[in-house]
Amino acid sequence: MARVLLEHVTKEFPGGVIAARDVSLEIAEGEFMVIVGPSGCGKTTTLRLIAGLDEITSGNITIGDVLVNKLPPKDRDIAMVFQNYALYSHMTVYQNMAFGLKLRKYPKAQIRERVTETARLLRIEHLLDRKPRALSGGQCQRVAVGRAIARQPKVFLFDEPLSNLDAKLRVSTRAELKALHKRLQTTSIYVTHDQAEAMTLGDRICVMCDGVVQQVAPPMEVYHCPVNRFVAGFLGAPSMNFFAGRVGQKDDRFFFICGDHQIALPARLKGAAAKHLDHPVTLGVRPEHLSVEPYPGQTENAISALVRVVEPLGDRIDVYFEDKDAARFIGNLGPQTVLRVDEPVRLHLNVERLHLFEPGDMGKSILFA
Amino acid sequence: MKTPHRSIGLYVIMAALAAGFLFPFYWVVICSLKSPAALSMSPPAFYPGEVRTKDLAVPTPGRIVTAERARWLRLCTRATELDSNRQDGTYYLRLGKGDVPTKLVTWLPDDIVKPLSDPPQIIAFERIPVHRLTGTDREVAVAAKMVRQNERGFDKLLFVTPAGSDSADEFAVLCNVEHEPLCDFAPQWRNYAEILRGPEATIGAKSTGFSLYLRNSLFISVMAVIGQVLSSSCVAYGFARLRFKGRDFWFVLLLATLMVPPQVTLIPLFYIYKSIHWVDTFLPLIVPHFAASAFNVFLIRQYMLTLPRELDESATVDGCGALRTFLQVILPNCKPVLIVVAIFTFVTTWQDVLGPLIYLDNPEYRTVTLGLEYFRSRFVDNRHLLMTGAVLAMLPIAVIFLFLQRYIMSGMATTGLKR
Repeated sequence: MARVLLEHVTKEFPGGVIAARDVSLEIAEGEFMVIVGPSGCGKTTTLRLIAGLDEITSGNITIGDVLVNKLPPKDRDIAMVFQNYALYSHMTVYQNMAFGLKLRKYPKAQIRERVTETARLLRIEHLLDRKPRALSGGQCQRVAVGRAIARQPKVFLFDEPLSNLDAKLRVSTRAELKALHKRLQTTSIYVTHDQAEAMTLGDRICVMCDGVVQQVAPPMEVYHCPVNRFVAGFLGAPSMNFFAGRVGQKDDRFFFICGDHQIALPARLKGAAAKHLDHPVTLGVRPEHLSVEPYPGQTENAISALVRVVEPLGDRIDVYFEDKDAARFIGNLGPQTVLRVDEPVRLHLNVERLHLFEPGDMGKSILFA
Repeated sequence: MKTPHRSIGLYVIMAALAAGFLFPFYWVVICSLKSPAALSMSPPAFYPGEVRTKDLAVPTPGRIVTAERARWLRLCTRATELDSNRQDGTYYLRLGKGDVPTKLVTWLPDDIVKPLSDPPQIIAFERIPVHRLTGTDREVAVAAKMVRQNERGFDKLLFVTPAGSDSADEFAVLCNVEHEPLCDFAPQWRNYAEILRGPEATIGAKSTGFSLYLRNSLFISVMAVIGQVLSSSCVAYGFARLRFKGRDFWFVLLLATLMVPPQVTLIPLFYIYKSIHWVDTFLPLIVPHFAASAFNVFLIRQYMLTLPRELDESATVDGCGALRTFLQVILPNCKPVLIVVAIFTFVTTWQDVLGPLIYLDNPEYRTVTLGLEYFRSRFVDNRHLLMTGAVLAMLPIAVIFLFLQRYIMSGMATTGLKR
């Protein structure tokens, strides 16, 4: 177990592509850090830099107390689980798990003990003599994880380990990974593009975009207080609705004005709104903060729209609305809601949960300005 | 949905095609089990066997009829004597006593007539087949094969004469006889024993049996396989995985060597090997295989590119260096393509004639192909042994294909799929 520290790490590939730009990140001892972002955001590169599979262009990486910038992967005491498992297909499961230990010249008895113990932990004891070819995807995944665990490294690195599994298995394996981490308490860095994995697994989440770290925070904080529009839009499914407009003032109250809609901003946004008065801003509201019923004490914050698509999901209903400016947005309504397509409705916004961003795709949140 | 009779038709066609392709192979095998006489029989028998023979009486020269082919004999059914008194440079057959000689010009091709410019002399008799006699069942045929030397080598003339009688009827019998030789089903396994021991008629060295050739060929081929698999896979790994400057350039350059015809390098190579005294040793046939070959490198590299890079990286994280990754992770995963390379190398080395022909001199170093080449010598007629040798030569290759074709398929199918 060890702390992992990235300081101003930059990776530039030959040809000028910068995959990681000034990444600074501290992963505490025993922490489960999830790096999440869209494909091409540099999350896998960051992981490979930590693993030592790619060399950093500038900056420092420290694992434990050791500066590992120039250290080869095998001396960094890390273990990595790959997306396609990367099992040695010519070896049995046992040999796969023992390979790393054998290379580190552990005595035979100790290897056997560790492998069987790991196998028991992952419930793959009955597979030890099989070759990876004879395993299902989920079993391969367990072996890959087992190979990492058996080594008992300081840090686990996971590179989208669940994305090759089917949806159901992914959910159950996710829970197992979480339980496993709770038990082993090994520092883990987990890369994924799946925000559900990020939310459920991480002690903290690191959201990346274009090689730049956007926000590092516990899952709920990232969800409820995204620092910019990108983070707000990336986490949450369906994703947050955005409306472009400006801040207006009537008497001593501030409003968000977008076409015909006028939404009164709550008192907690007063300071921020005053600063951006008459400036263009983006309003963000999550689907679950839209309702056909007025929120208590907020009768005036409603917008009219037409129902376009209704997607019943059982526990809730996702509804696609369109206002008269042809802007589309999604509402996440209770399962009892009855709506017909093309029906005009008044939609209420939960103003306590509104977000305001500076304009642009990466516009900063101005709630806390 | 196919109707049954349509698929039957398909199978019939496929079976016919298969039979067509397999027939030459079958032919070689049965010929290798025939006796020399059965081999020269016309029409040939489609089963291995031996021609029934009987001791023949020595014919008297004066009553010999010259014939090269059966059809020629057919024409001279009534001939009793070859008129050896030449008139205008052609040969005549006298049909019965006192008859006017019939001209035979059309039936004696030039290359037969010319050597007969001297009166033919019987210099050797052979036991030749007793034939089934049509009409009467008397064994009357007496034949001799005369081997006559002229300035162009050997000619064979068949002299036929009736035994104890010169009546014209019996010649008529003879003519049919040529076309219906008797062949007993009797595989001549001793052909194999003879060839492994070494045919008696082989000119030159002592103890140059086929078993020695087989051993030589096997040694060279196995060493070549070891060399190619080791060296080509090393080079391929470098090109597939290691990062170094100008990698693509060097790879293209390597592939470009495929364009150089081997004939171009043949003579310079010979001089090089001669200068280091490697001629008449196995070294020029083995050592170059330890320096990889462009095609094999290409084949293996393409296969390695299909292996996920994560495999290497996983090994790296586990603690392998480049060499150990290669030996313990990549190489075992390349098994199908390595088997393909091994088979290709084995087959080409085994079948190589030119290399051994150029570099090997000592009869004891002869390979199978060279041995076969010497059996084909114009001085010896060892056609049955040639067939036997051919079967022995293709046996290892046939066995390899039989047992390893699964790998050949998978190795070939996966190479070159990506990129």
